[in-house]
Amino acid sequence: MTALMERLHTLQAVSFLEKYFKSAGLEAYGVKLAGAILLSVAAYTGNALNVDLFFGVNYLFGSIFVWLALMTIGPLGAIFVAATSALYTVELWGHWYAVLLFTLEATAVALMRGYSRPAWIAPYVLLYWLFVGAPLALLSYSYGLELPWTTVQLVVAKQVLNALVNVSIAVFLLNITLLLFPSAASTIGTRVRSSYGNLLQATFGLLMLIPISLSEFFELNQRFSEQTQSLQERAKGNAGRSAHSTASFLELETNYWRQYIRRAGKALSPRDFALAKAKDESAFPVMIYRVTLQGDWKLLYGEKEFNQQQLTDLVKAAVSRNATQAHMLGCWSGMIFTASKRIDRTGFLVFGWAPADLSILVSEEPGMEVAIRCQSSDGLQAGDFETLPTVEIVRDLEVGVASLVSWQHGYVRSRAALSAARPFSLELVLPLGPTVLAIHKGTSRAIVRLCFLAILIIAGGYVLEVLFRRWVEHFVVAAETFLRFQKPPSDGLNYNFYENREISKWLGRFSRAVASEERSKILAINNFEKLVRRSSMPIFAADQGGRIVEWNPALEKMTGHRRDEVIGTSLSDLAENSLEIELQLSSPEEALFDVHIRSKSGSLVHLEASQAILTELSDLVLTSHSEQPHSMGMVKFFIARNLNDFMDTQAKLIQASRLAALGEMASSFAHELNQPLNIIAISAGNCLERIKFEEISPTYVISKMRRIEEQALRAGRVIQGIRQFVLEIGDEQVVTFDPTIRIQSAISLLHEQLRLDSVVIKQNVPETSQHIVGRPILFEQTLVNLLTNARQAMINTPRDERIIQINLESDGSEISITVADNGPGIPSELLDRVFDPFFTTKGETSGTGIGLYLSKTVVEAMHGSIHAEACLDGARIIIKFPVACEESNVRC
Amino acid sequence: MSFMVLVVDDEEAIGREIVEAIGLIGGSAVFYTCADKCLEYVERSGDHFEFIIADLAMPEMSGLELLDRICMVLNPTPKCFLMTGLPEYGGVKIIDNQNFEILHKPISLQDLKEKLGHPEP
Repeated sequence: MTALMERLHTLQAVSFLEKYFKSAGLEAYGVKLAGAILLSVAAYTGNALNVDLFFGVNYLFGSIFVWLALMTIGPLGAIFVAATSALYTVELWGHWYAVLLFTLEATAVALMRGYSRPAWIAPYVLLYWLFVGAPLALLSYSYGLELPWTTVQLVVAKQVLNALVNVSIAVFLLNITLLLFPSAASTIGTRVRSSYGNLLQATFGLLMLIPISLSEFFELNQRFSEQTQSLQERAKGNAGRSAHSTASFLELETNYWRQYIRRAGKALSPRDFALAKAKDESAFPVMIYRVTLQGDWKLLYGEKEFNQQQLTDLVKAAVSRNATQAHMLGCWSGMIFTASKRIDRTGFLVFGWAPADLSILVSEEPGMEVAIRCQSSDGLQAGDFETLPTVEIVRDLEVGVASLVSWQHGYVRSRAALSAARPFSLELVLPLGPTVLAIHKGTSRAIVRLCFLAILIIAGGYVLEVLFRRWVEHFVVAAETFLRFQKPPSDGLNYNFYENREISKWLGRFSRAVASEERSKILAINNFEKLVRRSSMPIFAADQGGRIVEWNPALEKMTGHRRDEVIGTSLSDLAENSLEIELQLSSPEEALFDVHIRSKSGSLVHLEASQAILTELSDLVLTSHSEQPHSMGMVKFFIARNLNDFMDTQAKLIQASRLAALGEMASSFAHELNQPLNIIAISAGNCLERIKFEEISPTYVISKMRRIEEQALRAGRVIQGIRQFVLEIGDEQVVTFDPTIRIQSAISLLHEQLRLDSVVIKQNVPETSQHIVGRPILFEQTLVNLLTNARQAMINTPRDERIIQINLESDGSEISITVADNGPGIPSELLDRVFDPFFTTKGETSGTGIGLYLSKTVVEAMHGSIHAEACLDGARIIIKFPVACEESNVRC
Repeated sequence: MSFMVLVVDDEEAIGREIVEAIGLIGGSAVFYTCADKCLEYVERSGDHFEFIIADLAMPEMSGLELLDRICMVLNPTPKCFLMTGLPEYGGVKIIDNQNFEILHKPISLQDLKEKLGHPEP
């Protein structure tokens, strides 16, 4: 029945919970439901594994899990757990009051506590039991169960104590879990928070309550068993003594009443017997029979008619014993029968005695209600008879409040043999009630004492916790004051106490550290500001939306846009290449990107920006300026480089390198110019000489003049070449050109030098025209650089082995030009460095180290690539360009 | 009063004009464009020359080297002229010395007359 009820109850609770969970999102509540069911099972088991403290007072463990459920799952879970686990008490104690009390307890505490501090439940439990639980329990136990007031007091005090100890255990368990497994709260999935004050009070509460309670309970249990023991001993002795004196007493009485009847001689009327009974100061039989030796009988006195069978047995026993002495006959129908000596020749008397009339023979404590019964032989086993006298505690376990009431309704039954010969005994029954009540009185006092102790500990603990919290708050205020003013609050710390002195010392150190940190931060901000404002580098910052939030004076000067004009505007609106900027600002990568800004004067400013991650500091800097518009998200700072200057510098460098090359070629040019001049001079001289002395043929003159003309033109070409080579290149336009032509002109420019150094140029260049986009003279300069490098590299190579191989290959999309020499080559460890500016292997006299660097710059500006390879016999430089469509400036 | 001149220049046009000029001032000349061949010839023939005129810048070997090597072969040593527009070789300035005299380009016939006019006996 109970199991069914419980099942029904659980089902109802589960369906209700499910409804509740569905309304608030299943996933989290699914976990909660599982937790609630798990804790219910644990709580039910905890109740089932109760400890029987003494005579039916049980200590239950279930509510530990109820409070755990309240702290981790929530109010509904706790009520559910409380209700299901309390069902066990119905089975244990046989009443429903405890279920009501425990469910109400969980509900009330859940309501009082709300969702505030999960671990703050012990005071609410205390409040519940003081104002609701205990009064209700007192009422229901005394009126509902009709228990004696002392017992009610004991039971209620025990329940309060049980509740307080359990809530302390639950709080302790939760706290210790949170302490040892800091991540447990998130695993449980709820916002479980606690405090050290809470943990300490739970720990100290348990440390005090558990040992004291245990010793008290042990003591009480001990006392109870001692008292019941002594009661039994006393009963046993009493029974033996009473049996003995009963036997002798009844023999005396039997003789006395035989004499009395015999002296009367005549038949005595019932009235005579009533008079005799009234006069008599000792015992008076309930019935008197006269029995003949033949077995006939006659009732002389007595109201009660014996039934036939019993009477027959009685008479049979009396006749068979036909003794000369008064003696015990036995027990029939709860009465003791004795037989007298013969009253005359024909018969004797049989007396029936009521055991209750013999109570004067029992020496018990006054007030103790002793029941005396006579037990006939048929109610006893033969073995039992031999072990007499016996004693036993008898409890009726069918009574409603099983163990508790059974103790109160229980009794001690002692038996002793009434006659050595006959198997019937005298039975004394002593009720346990008064003893139990006496013990209850002592016990309830002890339990109430314990209860008060628990109340004091919990209330005191919470007072301490509140004080501790206030102290912490005070500490925070003190810390804040310290941080702000670098001194303790005027009304604050009492220096008579060690902790306050230590705190003050510590806070002083802390505030100094913070102040110095603050100073260095301010310093950093100031320096950063100075850096940004005074830097000659253009620096700007943009937020994530691409709006400008910083624009330094260098940029103002460069672009003409003032800081207050551009702040807040979008960088991509300001710039000409907005698409590239938008892409770059939105990408998380930190790549270099170009920003082209039209300055106020109309010229285009080329900037190359790189991002500087300065988030935290830059936020501080920006928030320190109130005029800054509210920026979105992270601010990125960009340090830019003015490419205009760079471009100028580069152009100048190229020019310088051309002049340097020109210097290197000066002797070559001189030679080249002098050759035709020499021919002209000598030809003219020869001609003149001949004209002086002889007739000369026109043919001779013509041939000489032709030669002179030819050589003059040759000289002119040389000068043309030089002129073109040193031509201004800064304004050269990007055009589509044929690289093969430029290769030829580079070769022809160096032709004389190469010839004089016996350098042979081998070419593998296609006949068809090729097209690339770029600046042709710069390209030619690059080739001149490469050829010059190759020529100089082979200075120590035997003259007949000096070869420069020039290859040009096109695969349709890319043209690659290879210039290879068979000099000593480039050491592989220098391969990466040969394109670095000012890197040279030629020594200080002949090399500037910018030739290859400029070649690389030029090639890359034409969207090409250049790299060096070390091969077995000399160096190899490979340049690659994308193929351009014919007659257009577009790359194909 | 005839004299023999050995002319070496890698450019044939110059060589021919000089040979003609020497002829006009009364000498006769042997002309080579290739320094190696010239050296070979001198070593082989053992001819006597009063003068040698060599160009400084030539592909196979420079005039300096050629003059050194010829002077080692010929005895008595002829008077040597190094013909150049820029008296510098490999970054080193070249000046007149006991081995040779510099003949600055462009050479006029007058120069040649003056230089070769008094050949040593």
